[in-house]
Amino acid sequence: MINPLKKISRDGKLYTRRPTIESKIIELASLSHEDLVIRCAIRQKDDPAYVPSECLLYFIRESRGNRPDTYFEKLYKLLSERVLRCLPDSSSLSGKTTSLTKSTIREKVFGHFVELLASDRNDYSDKLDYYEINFEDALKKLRLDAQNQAWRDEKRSTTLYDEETGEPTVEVENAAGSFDPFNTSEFSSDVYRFALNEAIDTLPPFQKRIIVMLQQGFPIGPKDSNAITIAKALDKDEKTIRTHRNKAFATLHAVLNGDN
Amino acid sequence: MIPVDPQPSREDVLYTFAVGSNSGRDLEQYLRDYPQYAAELINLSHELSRDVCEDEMPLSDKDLALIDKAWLQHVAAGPQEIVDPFASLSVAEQRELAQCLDVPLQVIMAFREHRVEPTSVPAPFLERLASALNSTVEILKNAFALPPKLNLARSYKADARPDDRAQVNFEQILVEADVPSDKRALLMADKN
Repeated sequence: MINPLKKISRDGKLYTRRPTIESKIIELASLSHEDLVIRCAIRQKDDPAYVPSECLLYFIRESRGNRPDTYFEKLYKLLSERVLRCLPDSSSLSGKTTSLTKSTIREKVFGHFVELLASDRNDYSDKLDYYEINFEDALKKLRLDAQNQAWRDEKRSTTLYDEETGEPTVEVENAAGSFDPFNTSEFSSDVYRFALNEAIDTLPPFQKRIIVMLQQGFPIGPKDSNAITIAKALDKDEKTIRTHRNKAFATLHAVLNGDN
Repeated sequence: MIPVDPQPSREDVLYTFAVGSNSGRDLEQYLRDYPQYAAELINLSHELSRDVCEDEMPLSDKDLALIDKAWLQHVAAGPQEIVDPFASLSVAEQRELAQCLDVPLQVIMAFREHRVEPTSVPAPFLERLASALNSTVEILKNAFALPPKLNLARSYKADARPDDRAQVNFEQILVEADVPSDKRALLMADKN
């Protein structure tokens, strides 16, 4: 018998784990503590014996009322290791930027997750239910919060922007020409898309949102449309959106070509 | 059906969108339902589009230290269980302990039943007691603070009412156990 989640969804129903996770928990619950720890230590996701993090978290939460013995400690530390491995390391993947910020984000996310687990130890914290539904994506939400905070603290600026106006320099805009990051022959390449995602992170927040929405196929306008458009979601007129899109394209062109 | 919260918190909206459960993960629908969180939902959708690239390198010493610290934090956050080192002592072990400390068995039983006033026990004796039990002074003090335990066999024979079983001074316990005065003075000494 698996304990159900307690978080209530926005349509008034209890959240549920994915059926594959529930089946896996039932299977794992029959193992001895020693065998469960061995299974949880497997890191390769394509290994049939791999234990999803959602299940690992379930067993840690189920140990809530138990004394902190070696079994409990091993499970806890294995999950902690997985969290750290999912977060960017202090060395930037692009090799160019913000190693200190990445390190800060990593520690903030880990610290928040540790606090969440600790709060669940005494009293059931339904916020952790999200992590039993989809561990990696719930962690991404935590990462976003930490990232926003770290970037605010960093007050990031680069030479791509004019120091007074915060806009891309004229040279950057001219060099971009008609560059469209989503309409290039390189777009099918994983390496390009990874680099593009990293480059998008360097944009000012408003421009970043425009690019993310364009990437997902939202139209720019009109603002008063019944459909969701970029102008409507961001509450700006179409002209402003187009201007900032062009500036964002110019910056992305510069970053992707190593001009910064 | 559980009543729906008409105004879910920012945390709940973003987490629900992130995990894509029950109602799915449809950015357009979320932007329609929660325009007040539009900027964060868009940022989050970008975050979710990334592949998770797990670091395969061995963890650094710094990471291992972070994990150790996190575990200690987790243990500290849990219910603090008071361990009673006397609880699991057999009669033979109680006798052995009495011999080791050179006191009558009656004194050990008084400790076991939490009848000794903790502040009345001299520090040197407490340290010897902790050492003999493979425990710590701190753990012993916490155990002494537990409510007195009723020894059914003894209380049946006793004339005193249960109310009279309140904690008593350590020296009084020694007197009741017929410990001679010169030995009492040694046991009550504040210094080793």
